[in-house]
Amino acid sequence: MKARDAYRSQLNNKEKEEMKMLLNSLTTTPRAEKIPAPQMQSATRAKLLAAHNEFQLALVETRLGWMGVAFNAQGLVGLHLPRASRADTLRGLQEEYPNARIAGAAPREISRELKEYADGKRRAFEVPLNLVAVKPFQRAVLEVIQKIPFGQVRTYAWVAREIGKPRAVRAVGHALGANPIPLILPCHRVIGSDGGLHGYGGGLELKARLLRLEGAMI
Amino acid sequence: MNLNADRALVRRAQTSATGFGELFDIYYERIYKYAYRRIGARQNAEDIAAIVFEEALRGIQKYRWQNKPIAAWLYKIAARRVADFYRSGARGEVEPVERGDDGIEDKVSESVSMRAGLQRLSEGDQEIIRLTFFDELETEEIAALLDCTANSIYVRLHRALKRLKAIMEQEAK
Repeated sequence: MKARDAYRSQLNNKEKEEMKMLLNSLTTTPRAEKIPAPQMQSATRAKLLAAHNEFQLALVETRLGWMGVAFNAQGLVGLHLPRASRADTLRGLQEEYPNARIAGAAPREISRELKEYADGKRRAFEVPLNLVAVKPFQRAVLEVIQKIPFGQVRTYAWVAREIGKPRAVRAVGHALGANPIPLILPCHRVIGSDGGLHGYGGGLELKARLLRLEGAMI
Repeated sequence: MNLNADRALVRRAQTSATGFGELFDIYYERIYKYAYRRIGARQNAEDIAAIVFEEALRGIQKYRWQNKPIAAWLYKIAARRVADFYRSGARGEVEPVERGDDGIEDKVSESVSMRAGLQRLSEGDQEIIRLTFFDELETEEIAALLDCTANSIYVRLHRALKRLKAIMEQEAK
């Protein structure tokens, strides 16, 4: 609601009476303002839209299933974990990145690295990542888990200690749950202190499958 | 105002040019008018509106949703750019926005004395009155813009209006 109307509705009757003239004047004066119509609006609009660093979406078929990627000129923005159905992966991507253009194909290095990983031929990723939208706490968590080597696992508690917040185990779990680029930022290598896998965006079955692929002892 | 709709709009604006175009179409005129009311020249107000949306374009992909109306983010940028404009000394005398002739003498004189009274208030009092009655913002937008609660907006507004009323009454004597 407009602050003007909300304010008026909060006044008691006496205040309403006292303020009546002033409020009327304050309501009618702006209506009589003469502000010239803007003239540069469409030129400005066209210039800005041409400069928009748009996200693009693409699907990558791998041995693990159809993965989805979102990227722009600065790098990979998001990754959707493999699913058996191409359509499901695409739908998931489009829900997360509405309006984003569907590219004919993923940038070559992205699709190559993902395919090689799924084939068990790649242990580390080199594609540039674009993490501009990641909040500082989550960024700290994601930076720490990038250090967990291929084939190894760590616990949520370990991650919490590494970021200097040993009591923030639950928050670490949430930050990993919202990992925008799973697999490449290997949140699947983080498990519970009891040795249980706990959670995974792509399902526990996939988490176990990835760890087996990497040869981690679980 | 619907925060869910705002959130979805931000997401579209982040991912695509058409989404950013939506944001631009909804807010360009509001931001332009905000600048015009404070600067009083079309060209300058449009320059500021263009700068605001350039900054918005650069910042939108880093924008973190905080459950606040996106309008407040744009107005905050606009407020900084208007302040820069004043600091730069680029302005001559601010021409007051021309008031329309509504044909009723009493109302005109009343509005003249209201405007004169407004000028004598503190910057903070003037601004909350302008944001409420001239820019016609929603409470949540003003609260997010000024980093305070909706309730304190009403309190500040009420005090500012009482002071304005007192000034006008004094003038009338």
